[in-house]
Amino acid sequence: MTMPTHLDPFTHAQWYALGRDEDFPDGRKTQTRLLSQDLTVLRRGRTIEVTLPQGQPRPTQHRYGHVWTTFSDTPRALYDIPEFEEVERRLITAGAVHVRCSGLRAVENFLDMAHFPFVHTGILGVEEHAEVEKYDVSMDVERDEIWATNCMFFQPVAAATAKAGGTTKYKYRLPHPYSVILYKTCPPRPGEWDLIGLFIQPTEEDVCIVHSFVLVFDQDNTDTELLHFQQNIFLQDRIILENQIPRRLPLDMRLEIPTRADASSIAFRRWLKANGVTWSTVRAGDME
Amino acid sequence: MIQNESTMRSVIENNDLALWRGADGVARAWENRCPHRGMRLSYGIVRKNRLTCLYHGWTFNGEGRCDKIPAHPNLDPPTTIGAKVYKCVEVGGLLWVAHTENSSEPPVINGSWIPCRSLHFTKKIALSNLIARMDADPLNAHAQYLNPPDGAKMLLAVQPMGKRGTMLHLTLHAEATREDHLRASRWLIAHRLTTEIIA
Repeated sequence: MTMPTHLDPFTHAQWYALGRDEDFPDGRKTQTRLLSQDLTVLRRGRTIEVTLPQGQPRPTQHRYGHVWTTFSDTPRALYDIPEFEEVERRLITAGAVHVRCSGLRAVENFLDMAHFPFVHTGILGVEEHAEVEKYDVSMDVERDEIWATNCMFFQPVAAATAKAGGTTKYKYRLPHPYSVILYKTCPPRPGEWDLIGLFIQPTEEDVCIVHSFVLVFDQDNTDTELLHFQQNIFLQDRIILENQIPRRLPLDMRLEIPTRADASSIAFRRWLKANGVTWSTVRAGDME
Repeated sequence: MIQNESTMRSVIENNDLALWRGADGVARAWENRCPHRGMRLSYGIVRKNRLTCLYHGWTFNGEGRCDKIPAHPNLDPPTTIGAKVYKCVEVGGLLWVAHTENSSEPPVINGSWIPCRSLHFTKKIALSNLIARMDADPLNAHAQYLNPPDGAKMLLAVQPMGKRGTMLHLTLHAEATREDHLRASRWLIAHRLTTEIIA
């Protein structure tokens, strides 16, 4: 199998979500893309086959409501999300949204609290409370993942279950270059966390498909209400993501000036660099 | 056409530009990229004479310096943080933009000129072909004065947009009548028909 020119070993070694079972009609082939390569997905009942153009099969697994595959014969293990085992939680998947940007930019936007008052005005933030308090960023060396903890932000309507404004607590987990999970305070169950996450399918270096999920204790809202809340937020983000220049992510700190509020983004870019990621990032000549 | 306290996006060759006008009526042309996370500043909001980026609210004064970062309200942003500013002058009913390192003088155009028509061509347009049989005087590398036999003096400017084609901007001297404007506008449209459809 030939690898695209800029595909680095770390990006190549990951498992990627291609969609939910129901996204692939039973018994009919679906064409998709991953890392600038064509793939065919065929579902027969609960069995999924993913093949390359010449028919060579790729391994698959069903996890977190999605179908995953990898191009690697020695893949980096797909991370655990223990909360998926908790039976009282509801899983709502929001489907696939195509975005013309690097999947890495989509991850970074999801990590970012400072945009809430401006992009999600009146929902996740208000301009009068735009301050981002200091939060902690740490590396889980054993699992090679990043955590941002003790994040706090004032929100008028933090979630579909929120009745009034207040300070919401967040944690963010980055276990994979194209996955990001947000843990936020759960209004009906103080002490528990609701999860919202993205599983991104990088189709090209500057185009991606964002698969997302909500895993919550909410009993009041219908699936449709939770889905609408997520889709509304995500479509507001897409206006930003499709208008960042360049479309690929710059890893050189001099190309985009960070502040303290960007501590998680700084850690993410450093982590990508340390893992030798070049796919979907800025290269010499891009910024001319 | 940029109203006061508004922005628009434009492109010259491969340069993405944010054009905006403050409440002071002054037009600015900046690189269309917030220095923080690369967001197009043409999506920003103008309040009085400052431009605020849509993404994180970084706010820039009329000279391009960032003077507010809402995530850190008590921080005085370092003076080094700013948008990349281009030279921008408004004469002859048009905005003229150049890189700051471009040493050529902005055009000097006498009198008052009224915008007539701006038209997009999908191809690269050479001004010399367009005006081959007309009485013309060059203003600079990107603009010509045209003296039609049957109407008011016109100014035709070319905005090359690389793979996005070309914008042609036509303005008429303030003395032009309504008929002059209609005739000039039809002339430009006829040219587009010739170059894009018939050719």
